[in-house]
Amino acid sequence: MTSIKEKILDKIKEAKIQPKKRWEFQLQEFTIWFGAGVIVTLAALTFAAIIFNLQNADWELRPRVGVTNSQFFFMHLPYFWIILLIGLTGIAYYVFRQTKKGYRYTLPIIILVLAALILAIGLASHLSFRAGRFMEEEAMYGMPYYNMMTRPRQMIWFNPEKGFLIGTVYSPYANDEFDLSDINQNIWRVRCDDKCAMHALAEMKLNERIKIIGKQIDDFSFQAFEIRPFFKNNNPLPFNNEPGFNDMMR
Amino acid sequence: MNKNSGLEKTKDEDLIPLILKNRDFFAILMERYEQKLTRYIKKISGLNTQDTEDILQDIFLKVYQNLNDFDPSLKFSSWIYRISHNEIISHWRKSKTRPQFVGGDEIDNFLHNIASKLDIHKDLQDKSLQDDIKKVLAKMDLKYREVLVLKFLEEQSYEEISDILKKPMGTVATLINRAKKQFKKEASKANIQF
Repeated sequence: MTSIKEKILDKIKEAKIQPKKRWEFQLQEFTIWFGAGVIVTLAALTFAAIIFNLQNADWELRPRVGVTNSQFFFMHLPYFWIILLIGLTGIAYYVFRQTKKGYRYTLPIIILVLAALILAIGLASHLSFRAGRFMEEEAMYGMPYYNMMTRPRQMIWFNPEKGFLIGTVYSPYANDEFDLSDINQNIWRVRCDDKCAMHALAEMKLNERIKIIGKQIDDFSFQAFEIRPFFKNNNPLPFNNEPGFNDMMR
Repeated sequence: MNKNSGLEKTKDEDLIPLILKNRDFFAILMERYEQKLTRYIKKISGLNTQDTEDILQDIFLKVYQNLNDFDPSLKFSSWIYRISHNEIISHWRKSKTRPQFVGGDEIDNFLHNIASKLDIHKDLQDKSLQDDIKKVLAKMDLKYREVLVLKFLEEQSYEEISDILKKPMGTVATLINRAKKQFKKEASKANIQF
């Protein structure tokens, strides 16, 4: 009677079975680590987008909007990015567990290390090359339905009765006036004269998104006191003249 | 096998480069693990001799094909048990039959080990007590039965079990504790007093 080991050796010889090459396993391991790296980088960019969104919130307007600090905070939480970050962290955990030694570490340790990496890379990329802004813009212009998700945040700025208007430049700025298409595609005639402070980063190009603080004159007519770019620069913002928002707040 | 003479005391890990040069040396590894793995497969899956032999063949073929994937930081035994664990699970999923626990000649040692850890102080020579313990083990979930088999029959350390099951050591400890609890629960459900 043939023993198991003889049967197996015969099978190996007959079927010409060979051990898989070492490089195949190395490539497999490399692919897993590479995948983990890509996912952690994506998660870090997502975190940068969260920081950017929170920094971009107009906290100084909170009293005029008439909501509490916590209400304002929850209105401005970038839920899309937060959910994406949680999902990517979960995938990164799963991929890390597939590495050769990944199983040796417990969930809290892996999550802690991943969180530290994501936070550090995310913060560094936000501070060094404005990765958060890049992500936000890419989502805003390239992702279907993204703007719908951010609409509640934008609605704070779409409140002409309270002096807030948001939209895209619809006609060239000339003779202290221009047209603005609001988020409902209504066209507003906006006046920005000597009393109006225009932020240096508001270039007033066609289709540029801007925010306006001012006063509604009548239906679809608005007097601007201050024009801001859609995104802050995360630095103290220079204006071309001093009056405007601060005067209006007095 | 004459070629093997002189290699009896060679460590498993050191045999791998030799096997990669000459597949006939694989017989030494198979000889070392044939009985251990047969016992392990039977205890976990409760398969008959023919099915056990089929799984064992698949395991050895997989080991041979994956020799270059062996991580020298592991014990070879942990690695081969891990492959066996995966094959058993895969067979179990394919067949969709609930794995059964079966006894054997080495059951005494296993029962003795498990009884001492589960505070069973009755006389283990009593055949009916042995049958009761086997009945309870047969009712347990595969994952819990497997850690008990690895710990108390194969007498593997926590670290080795961690490497075999690919779970953190803390999780292994938790699994063993839960396995003990499930053992007591199943015993009490079946009205078995230890």
